[in-house]
Amino acid sequence: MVAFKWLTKSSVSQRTLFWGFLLFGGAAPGVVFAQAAPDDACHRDDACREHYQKAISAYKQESFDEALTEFKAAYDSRQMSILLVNIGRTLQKLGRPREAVAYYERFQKAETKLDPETGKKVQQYIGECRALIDDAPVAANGPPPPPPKPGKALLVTGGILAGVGVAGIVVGAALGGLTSSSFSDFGGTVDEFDKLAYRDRTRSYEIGATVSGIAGAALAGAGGTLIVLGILKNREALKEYDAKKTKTASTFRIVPSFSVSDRGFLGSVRGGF
Amino acid sequence: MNTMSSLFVALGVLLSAGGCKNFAECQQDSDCAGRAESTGQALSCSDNMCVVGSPRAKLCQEVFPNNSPASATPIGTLVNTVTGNDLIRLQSVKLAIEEMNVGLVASGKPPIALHVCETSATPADMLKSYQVLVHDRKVAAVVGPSGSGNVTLLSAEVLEQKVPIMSWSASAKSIGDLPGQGLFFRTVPSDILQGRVLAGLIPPGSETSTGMIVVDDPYGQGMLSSVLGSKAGLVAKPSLTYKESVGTDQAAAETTLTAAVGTLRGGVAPKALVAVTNLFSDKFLAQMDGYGTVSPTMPILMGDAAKNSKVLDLLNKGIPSMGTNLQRVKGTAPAVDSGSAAYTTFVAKFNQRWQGATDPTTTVYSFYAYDAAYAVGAAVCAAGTVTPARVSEYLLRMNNSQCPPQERLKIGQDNFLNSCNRLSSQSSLAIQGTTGVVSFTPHGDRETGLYEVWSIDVNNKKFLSTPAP
Repeated sequence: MVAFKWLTKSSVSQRTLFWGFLLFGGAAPGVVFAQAAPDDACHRDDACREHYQKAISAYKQESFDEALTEFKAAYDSRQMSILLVNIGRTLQKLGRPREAVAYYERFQKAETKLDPETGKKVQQYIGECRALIDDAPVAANGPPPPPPKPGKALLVTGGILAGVGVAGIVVGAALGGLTSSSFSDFGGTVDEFDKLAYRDRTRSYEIGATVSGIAGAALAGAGGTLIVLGILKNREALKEYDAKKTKTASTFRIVPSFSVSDRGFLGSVRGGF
Repeated sequence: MNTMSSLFVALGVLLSAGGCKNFAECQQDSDCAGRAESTGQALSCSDNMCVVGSPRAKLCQEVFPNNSPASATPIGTLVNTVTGNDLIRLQSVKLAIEEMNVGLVASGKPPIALHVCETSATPADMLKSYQVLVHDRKVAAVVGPSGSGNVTLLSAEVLEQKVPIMSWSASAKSIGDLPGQGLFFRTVPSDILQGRVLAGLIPPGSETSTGMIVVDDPYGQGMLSSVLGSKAGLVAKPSLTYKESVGTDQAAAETTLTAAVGTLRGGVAPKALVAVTNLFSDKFLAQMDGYGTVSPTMPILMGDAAKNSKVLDLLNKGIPSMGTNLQRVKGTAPAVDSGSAAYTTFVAKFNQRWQGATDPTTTVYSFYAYDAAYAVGAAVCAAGTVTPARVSEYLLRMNNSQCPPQERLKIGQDNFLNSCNRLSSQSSLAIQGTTGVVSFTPHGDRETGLYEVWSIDVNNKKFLSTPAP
């Protein structure tokens, strides 16, 4: 894994910007690292400087939440527009590309005389963020969206049918028991009218048991089939989801960048897996 | 897939447990022989099922009149015309139905269809016949049956089905104690009254030497209780019981009679013998031939059930001593209002309708049966929408034994419609029947009754009757 940091000084907006080009390894695996440093106004302000330094430290340790807080605090102390870029980059690290874009765009609006190199860089960041937004349009601002479940309706319907079906089978089984009991009573008596009553009752139970049992089994079967189909559909969707996620995560990109300024040759390479 | 398999296995178990039952137990009676042996009951094959009693399709084969329309109101009757004495009673009921139907048809009302159930084939047929009438024929009421034993046999089913019965001869005291109101009607008065009359026939001085032999059923036990309770100092000595065929095997029942008579004859003849018998009255008297006839002759005092043609038939069997045997027999019985127009008209109509083949005057129960049919018919007619409950409700409108003569409901073909119309709009009524004033208690007992003392004219082979004091 590699990461690059570059420092430079620009005359943009009558200020001196220092673009550090520092190299440190393993700080941010798989991502492009670059950050902008505020000018002397922030360094002269104790609070801003302190927050800024904490932010840099946290960023290096990949404590991006903390880094974000500190960059924002630094910006609150001194509204240095370059800090908006740092906030944007940190948000980008946190997987919040929409917010990052918003900060980049705020930076672009704040810098009325943006030097071309910085403008190009910020534009590049915006491009990266938009690519991410296109890949995950729904939940770009929150936690990653849950895997889709297209089989949910089938599972619900199947569950209801299977439940009714099982109830039908249970009722059918109960009626089957009553049928046997009533038939036993039929055989156990020699009173003709009792026999007739038991025979009628047995037949009624028998019909009830058969209808309830068959209908219950059919519903349970249909419900079970729908459940299986729902599960298969969900599994398939999950596979697709996982495959897409893996594809997005394993994208390898490396982007070289060169520029010449009054302070010398400046260059950077962004890359990631 | 495991879930699916489990479901189908469950279905298989379900279907094997609950489906495809074979209800065919027999094609003919002999197929039930094995089952009959194991249950100890005679079984027949009915509708491919081995059942106790006669097949239900054979129990109620006659519908009277035989051309009854489908709209006719069904009522039932339970009779034993083969081994019992119900032939004349059935004829009385049929006559009443015919007379009432004339009025019903003339007024545009549905006629009555009488579903006749013969109960003699097996001991189980009485109950089965009632069930056939209720379940298959949907009758609104049942006229009959004879005898307190049969009513008792039916009582649980009557209470369950709530189709009222109207017995013409179930006089047992215990019938009045059955639960339920308006289900157990009877035109014959309770033996509470008859027992007093019978006890009055016991000769003075015989109180401590009076033997008693009674049929072991509600009729016999009720009468015994009533007799013993009606005469101070009366002691039954000996006191014997036997069984008749109701609900038991007839041959075995006859054995119990023979045993009881054997015990009686094995001892010194008491001064008097109270014998409360029913269907075995002739058999009992036949076995008493030659016992207690040496002077002083032991009088045999019997209840109403003994007054039947089979007893008179004993005089035709060529037994020389039978006249002497029967001459000492006296009995009590519910009486008829022989001086009334209703009585005279009924006898004339009966003889005309059945062309003298039978004599209604040989048994008072032909009259009680006739009155019973009229009471039920009037209630059916007055009820309009005929249900068992409404028939019962309208029967209970006949609840005033003090009803003035001019306000009583009259019977007979010409009077029926008027009686029907009045019953539909009035209560606190009574029927002026062939057996006197017919009215019922809330339970269904006859409120009042007439009694007679009968004896046998052995020379003319007929019963002689005098009003009871």
